[in-house]
Amino acid sequence: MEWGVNKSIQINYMQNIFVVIPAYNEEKKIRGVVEGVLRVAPHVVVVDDGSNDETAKSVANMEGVRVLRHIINRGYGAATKTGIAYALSMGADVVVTFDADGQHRPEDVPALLAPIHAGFVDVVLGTRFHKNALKVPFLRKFSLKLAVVFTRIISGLRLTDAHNGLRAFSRKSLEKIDFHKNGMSAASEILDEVARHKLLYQEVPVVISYTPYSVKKGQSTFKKIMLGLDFIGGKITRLYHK
Amino acid sequence: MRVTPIQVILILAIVAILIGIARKALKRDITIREFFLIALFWLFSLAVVLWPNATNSAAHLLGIGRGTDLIVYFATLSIAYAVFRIFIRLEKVERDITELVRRIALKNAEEKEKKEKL
Repeated sequence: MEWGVNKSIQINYMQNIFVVIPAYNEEKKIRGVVEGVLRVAPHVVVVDDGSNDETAKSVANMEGVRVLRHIINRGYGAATKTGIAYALSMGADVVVTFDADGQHRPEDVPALLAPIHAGFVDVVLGTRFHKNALKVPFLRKFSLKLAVVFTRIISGLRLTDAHNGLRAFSRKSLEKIDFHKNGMSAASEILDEVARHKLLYQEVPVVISYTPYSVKKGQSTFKKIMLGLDFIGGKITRLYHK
Repeated sequence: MRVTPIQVILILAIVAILIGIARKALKRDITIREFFLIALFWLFSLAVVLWPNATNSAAHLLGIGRGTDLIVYFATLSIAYAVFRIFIRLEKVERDITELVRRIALKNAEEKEKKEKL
């Protein structure tokens, strides 16, 4: 880490950090993921997005964990927003979004928080593309880079990784960021909002583990392209809803 | 007047639609006013199917060669517009459903918290 994290500062802020984990049919992975996250953050909000399996049950009654339940499946963006709304209502100062499928490492969370605690930025985005990165599967890399170019053109943000589920937001930034897409295209919408409000942001290297499980749960190139179209569609309809 | 096969198909289809909306009107699923408006549209369509050449003069006025072309252009535009409207409507409905689901989730969490405090 380039920012030296002052331990006392970190402890000071610990109570106000909420990690939001949207989960859909993740009964196999969710408990392990939540246990890992609890080692680096005091509050975890799991949003069970209308799962058909035992996702909610497998994290029920854990200390420091609140499970919110969508009665029907509404998608990644919708579940993330619900988790954020809850965290803010509980007085969160910083909210971290974390994927439920085990592709993120809890030990990356402190590095994500450091720039916000230091007061340098409002939004920290994880990136899997950096010099010490593990190899990203070729097709996945192609579609992710497509998303990077897309974000550069549409929102004007120069990122190296536009669709990474590991992010941290200051309370101030979340009070401005307003997103409505229910599905994965919310990821693009959030970045668009970061650009629109000229929020200060920074990318921080994180490690993504590509297990057969997380790859299966991830998106194909075709799906990524559809996401782009979905996001643009949302941008158009936004003009009509206001 | 020679009746072509396509005319027969279209006439049968339009008559079926007219019967359908008449039934809906009788069951009061739609108002009489709506019935007349919809019926008028389909009666107009029926007239165009029966006397396709009647649309030619309107087409010529607009610089289009044939009346049928005019109808096709008009229909395509209308459908494109309708799809656009439906798309926007659908987005709004999707959003509203999510908002409902979110409120329920947050409300349940709030209640749980109250219980835990007691």
